[in-house]
Amino acid sequence: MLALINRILEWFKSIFWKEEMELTLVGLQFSGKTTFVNVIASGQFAEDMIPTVGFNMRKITRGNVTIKVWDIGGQPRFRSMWERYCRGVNAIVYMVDAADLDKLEASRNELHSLLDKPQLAGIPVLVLGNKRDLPGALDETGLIERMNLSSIQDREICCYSISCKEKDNIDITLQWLIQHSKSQSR
Amino acid sequence: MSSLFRSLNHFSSKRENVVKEALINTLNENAREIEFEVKQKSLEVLGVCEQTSALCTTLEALFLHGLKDSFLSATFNVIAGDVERRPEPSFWAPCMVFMHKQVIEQVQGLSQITSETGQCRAWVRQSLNESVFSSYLNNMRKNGSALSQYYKRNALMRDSEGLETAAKIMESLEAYVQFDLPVNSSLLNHWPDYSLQLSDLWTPALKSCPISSGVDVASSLGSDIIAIPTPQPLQTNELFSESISNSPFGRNSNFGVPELSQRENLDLLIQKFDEMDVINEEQTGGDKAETNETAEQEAPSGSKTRSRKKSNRQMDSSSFADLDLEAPSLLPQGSNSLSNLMQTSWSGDLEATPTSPTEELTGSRFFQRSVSVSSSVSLRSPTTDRCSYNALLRKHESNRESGAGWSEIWEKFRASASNLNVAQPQRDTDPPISEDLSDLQSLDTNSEFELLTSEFDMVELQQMVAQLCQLAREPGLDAQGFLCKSCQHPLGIGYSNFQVCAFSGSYYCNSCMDVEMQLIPARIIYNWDFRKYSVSKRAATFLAEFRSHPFLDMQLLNPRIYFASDAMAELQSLRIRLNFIRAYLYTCAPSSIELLQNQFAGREYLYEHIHLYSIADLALIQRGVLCQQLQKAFKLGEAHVLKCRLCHLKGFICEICQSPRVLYPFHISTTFRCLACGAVFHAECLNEKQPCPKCERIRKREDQGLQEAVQCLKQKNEVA
Repeated sequence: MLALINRILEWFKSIFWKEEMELTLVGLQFSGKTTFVNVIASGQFAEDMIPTVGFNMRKITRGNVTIKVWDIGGQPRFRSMWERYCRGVNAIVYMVDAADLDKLEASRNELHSLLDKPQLAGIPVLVLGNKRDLPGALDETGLIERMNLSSIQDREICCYSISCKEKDNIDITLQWLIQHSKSQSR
Repeated sequence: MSSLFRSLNHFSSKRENVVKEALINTLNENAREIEFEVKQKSLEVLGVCEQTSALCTTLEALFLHGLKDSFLSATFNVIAGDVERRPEPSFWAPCMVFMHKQVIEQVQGLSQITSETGQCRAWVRQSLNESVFSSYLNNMRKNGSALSQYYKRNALMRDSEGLETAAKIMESLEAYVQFDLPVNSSLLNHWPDYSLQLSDLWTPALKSCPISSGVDVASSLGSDIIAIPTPQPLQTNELFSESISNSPFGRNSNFGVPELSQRENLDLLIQKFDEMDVINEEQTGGDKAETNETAEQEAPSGSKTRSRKKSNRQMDSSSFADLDLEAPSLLPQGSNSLSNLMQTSWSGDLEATPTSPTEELTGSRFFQRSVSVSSSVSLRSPTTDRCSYNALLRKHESNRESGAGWSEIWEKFRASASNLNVAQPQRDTDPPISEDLSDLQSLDTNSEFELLTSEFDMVELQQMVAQLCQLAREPGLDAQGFLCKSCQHPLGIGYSNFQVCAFSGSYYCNSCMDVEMQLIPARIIYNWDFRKYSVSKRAATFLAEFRSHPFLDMQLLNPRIYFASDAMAELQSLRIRLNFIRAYLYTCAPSSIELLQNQFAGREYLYEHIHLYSIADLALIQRGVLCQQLQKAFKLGEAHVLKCRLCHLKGFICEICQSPRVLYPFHISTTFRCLACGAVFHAECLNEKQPCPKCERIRKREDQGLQEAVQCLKQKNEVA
C-alpha cells in the first residue's frame, strides 16, 4: 500500500516538474566535441566534421530532462571563451582525443588551467576520452594518470572512455550527467 | 477576394526579397572594404573606423529586418496616429535565446548602456570582438523555430539561405580580421537612421523614395589612365627646353652694371654681326647644297666620301640664278617645325665666328662650314627617326641610291615626310607599337615585329603598356567574378589560394604566379621603390620581353621625379650634357661619331633623348651603373670637343664680358643658355631675368622692317 502511494507520487512529479540542465563542452580542436553532440542529439555519427567556429548551442531532451549543451570551438583563438561559457553551468564536459598521445600534454595543461579559475569552483567535471576504437587509445586508467586527474580535489570528477563512432559508453555518460543533475538540485 | 489577397501577398514578398538581397550585398561590400583596409595597412587589429561602423550598421539592419512589432508599441502607434514617428525596435529578446547567460549578464552590466537598443548594439560589437558573430548566425539558422515568435515569416533571420550566406561572409571576415570595437558607449543607445532604412523598418519623410543598395566606392572611382608616351624628335626639343627651365640646378649670379668701355665694345660687336648677316644671305645657295650633303649621310658609310665629292662638284657647277629660283619654292613646302629648327640653327651659328676684323676672309670661310655642319645637326635627328619609321612601314631597308643629285635627294626627303603624314592615323591607332618600333634602330626589325605578334596580341599589349605607366590598383575579387585572371579557376570566399599581382593588381591563383620576384617599373617611377614583388607569369613575360625597349618618358610620366631623387637629377644633368656633346660629335669626323656609338651599343636613345628610359635602365639606376656609363661617355666626348679644332669653332663667346675663352653649352653649371636664341653666356654674366643682347638685336631688326613697311604705306597714301 505504501509503495503504491510512492509510485503514484513519483508519476505526478514527473508530469509537472521537468528538469533542465546546462552543460559546456570544451577540449582541444579535433577531439570530437561536435561529433559527440550530434551523437547524443540525433544518434547519427558524421565522419566528415569541419572545425567549430565560435560555438554551437543544442538542446537535447532525454526523458524528463532537457540538456542545453554549449559546444565551444577548440582552436587557440576560442579558448579564451571557455571560462566565460563554463560559468554557472551544471557540469563541464572535457573532451580528450585518447588516441592522439602527442596532444595529451597540451590537453592536460588546458584542463588544469581552466579548472584553476575561481569562478568555476565546485562545478563537476566529466572527462571523456574519445576515439577509444582506434588502436593505441588510452583507457580510463591511462587517461586518469596522463591527465593527472587525481590532483583535482575540489570538485566531483569522473572519467569515461567512449567512442562516438561505435557509440560505446554514450548512455553511461548521459546517465552520469542526469544523475549528477539530481544531486545538484538536491 | 482570395485572388486579391494572393496578389497583395505576392507583391509584399517580392519587395521583401529585394530588401533582403540588398542587405546581403551591402554586407558583402562592407566585408570586402574591411579586408582591403586590413591588407592595405597591414593591420592586425581593426578599431573604430568608417569601414567597421558601416559593417555594424549593416549587421544591425540584418537583425532588425522583419522584426514583429510588440503589442504595446503597435497599440501606441494606432492611438497616437503618428506614422512618421521613429520606431525603437529591439531584437534583444530573440538574441537572448541564443546567448549564454554569462554573455547576457556581461552586456546588461555595461554602465553606459541604458536601453535595450544599446544592449543590442553592444552585443553586436562584442560578438565581433570575440569572433563569434558567425556562430550566432549559424546557431540561429539551425534553430529557426525559436525565432518564429519574434520575426515575420519573410524576415531575413528566418531565411535559411540568406543566413547561410551572411554566416559565410562573416566567417571569412572573422578568420582574417581581429576587431577591437568599444562596447560600453552611450552613443550606442539609439539606432542610426541608416540601420532602420536598410532594414525597411522606417523611411524618412519622403516615403516614395526607394531604398537602394550600397554603392561600392572602389568600383566607382575612375582610374586615371596615363597617356602612353610617344616621344618624337620635335617634342623632345620642346621638352628639352622645359626641362632646363625646370632643372633643379639653381643659378645664383649677380650681374653688375656694365661699364662704359663694355658698352662701347658691345656696339662694335653689333656692327660686326650685322656684317655677318649679309654674308649669311649671300650663302643661301650653299645651304641647299649642304642640305643635299645631309641627306647623303643616310647612305651606307662606304660611299660617304664619294658622295661628298659629288655634292661639292654639283654646288660649284650650279648657276646662281637657278639657286635663286629654287629658294622661294623650297621654304614654304617645309613643315613649320622644320623651318623653326633651321632658323634656330642659322641664328646660333653666328656665335661661332671669330671677332678679329683682320681675319674676315678666313672667318667667312669657317662660317660657311659652321652653317653647313650645324644644319645637318638639326636635320639629322628628325630624318633619322622618320626614316626608321618609314623603313619599318615598308618592312624593308630603305636603300638610297648613292651618287644621286642633291635635288633628287631633297625630293625623296619630302616624299618620306608626306608618307609620314599619311601614316599618322596608323600611329594613333597603335601607339604602343609605333613607339616601340621607332626606337629599334639597332635590332632586326622584321624578326622583332614577328616576335611581337606571336607573344601578345594588340589589345593585350596596349593594356600591358598602359598598366606599366600607372600604379597597380586592386579591383576587388568581385570585379573578376572570383576567378583567376589567367586560368579562370575560382578564387576567394572559401578558398585562400590566390595572390595579388603587384604589376597589374589583379588576382591570380598560386600556379599562375611567377616564382621570381620582379621590379615594378611604376613603383620605381612614382614611389622610387626598388623592392621586388610577386607578379603573375603573364606580367613576368611582358617585363622580360620589352626589357630593353626605351619608351618610359619621365617627362610625361613623372616630371617631378628629378626633384625627388638625386640619382635622377644627376642622370638628367648627364643626359642634357650628352645631348649637347652629341651635336658636336655628330658634325665632326666619322671617328667622332663612333666614339659615342661605341659607348652605347644599341642604346643611342641615352644621348639622343633626355627623358627616355627602358625597364632595364631603371634597374641600373639604383646600382649607379647607368650614371657611371653616362659619365664615362661624357668625359670622352668632352675631351674630344675641347681639343678638336673644328669643334672649337662651333663654341660660343660671351658677349657680356668679351672673354676670349670659348664657351660650350654642355658646361651647364658655369654657363647660361638663352632658350630663345640658343646663345651661351657665363652664368655670372647673365641669367633668365636679364635681357639677352642677341634677342634684342633680333627684335630691333624686326622693328626696323616694320617701320619701313609703315613708311611705304604712308607714301602710297600721300600719292593717292
